[in-house]
Amino acid sequence: MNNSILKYGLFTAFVLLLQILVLNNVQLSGYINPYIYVMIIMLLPLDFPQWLLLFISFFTGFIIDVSSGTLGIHSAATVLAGFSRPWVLMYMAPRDGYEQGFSPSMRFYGFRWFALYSFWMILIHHFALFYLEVFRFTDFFRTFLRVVVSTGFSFIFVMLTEYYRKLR
Amino acid sequence: MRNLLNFLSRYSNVFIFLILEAVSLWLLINAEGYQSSRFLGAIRSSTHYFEKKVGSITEYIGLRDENRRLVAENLALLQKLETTRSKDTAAVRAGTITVSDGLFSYLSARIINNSVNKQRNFISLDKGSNDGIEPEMAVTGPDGIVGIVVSVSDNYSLVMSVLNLDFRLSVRLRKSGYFGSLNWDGVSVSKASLTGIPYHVNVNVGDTIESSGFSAVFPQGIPVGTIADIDDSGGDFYRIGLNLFTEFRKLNYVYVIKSLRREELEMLEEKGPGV
Repeated sequence: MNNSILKYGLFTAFVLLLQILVLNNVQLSGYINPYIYVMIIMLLPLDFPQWLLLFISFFTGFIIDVSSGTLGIHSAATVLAGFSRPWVLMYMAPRDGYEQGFSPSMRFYGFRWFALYSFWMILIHHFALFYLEVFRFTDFFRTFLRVVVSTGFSFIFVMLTEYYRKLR
Repeated sequence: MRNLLNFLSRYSNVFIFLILEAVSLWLLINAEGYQSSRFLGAIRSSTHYFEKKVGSITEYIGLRDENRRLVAENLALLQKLETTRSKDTAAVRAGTITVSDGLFSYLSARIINNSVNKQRNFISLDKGSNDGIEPEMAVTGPDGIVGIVVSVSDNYSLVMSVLNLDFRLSVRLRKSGYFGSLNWDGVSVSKASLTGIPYHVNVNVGDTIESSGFSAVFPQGIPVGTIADIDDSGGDFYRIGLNLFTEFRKLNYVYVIKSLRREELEMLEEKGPGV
């Protein structure tokens, strides 16, 4: 148990550092910002208390906000993603249900399942994120394009990170 | 009461969600007063250290690009140095240098009188025929062309500034080499106009104009200005507005350029294709 908490903590730190130091500096042609830190929320164990998950979401977003010079945007988007997680999991539930105590990872539920799960989580997160960033609905389709393209890129990065995690 | 507590505990996650979203949105909306907010100011200063660290890392990552840029800049400067080696600023200020590259000889001079606010502006220099200055010598500044010497006395000379309605100079587009005529339209200290560029030539705002070297008064390639606007209505030629490189209001020192082979060229052209 303690071991898994430590592992999760190290992974969280790794993802945050990767996000802040590397990926936050990626902004190709004004459209592409990969954000993989939503993984921190995605990979919490299935029976993790929802209220604590919401607070962790908020603080994760807050750290990203502060480090990238924005305020409230990432927190709001991550809290929304954290709040939607049970519904996404419910929608994604395998036929024979989840095994309690495990984290919803690629190792336990397979590549296909994890790909779909991360796609929905990233899309929800990015949708909130980019519309809050422009904070208006003019340029709706331009923003939508950013959401779609960035979701694609974040998805690739999330899958790579998770695949690497699975191999270890 | 019990119902209320039941309700609250049942939907506690929704309430936590709503509260956290409200806090986030509050932060977002108040981010306008970001710097002034004391709370955020404190966060800001505590993250500043971290940001500086991140900045130094990304700076390090960017060193390769930075190096490439610096090498290119160095190269450009070296080339410039090579061509202007003899026009060293200190020596120019001392006002004693005369150098020659075989085709042109350069002489530095100080401006003692300069007008920019008339329609026909002239500049007076502190060198005259005693220093070897003659009429029809070219005058350039550190940024580009300035004018042409029109008359000299023993110790002074008078230069017709580019900012003179009578000034004409053959200039060309640096990119394509097409040439036209430069003149001043008497409106602005920093603007001139270019005529004689035909329609089929591709011109863009921002293109550099330089002296063509025809007539051998000016060496070729002396920078003149950049294209500011292009008018293609009427006639067979563009009417092009230029931003001049030379800032006439700030000029202090100029170079007077003597063309060593001009006489030879003029004699030949006068003689024509005869025997």
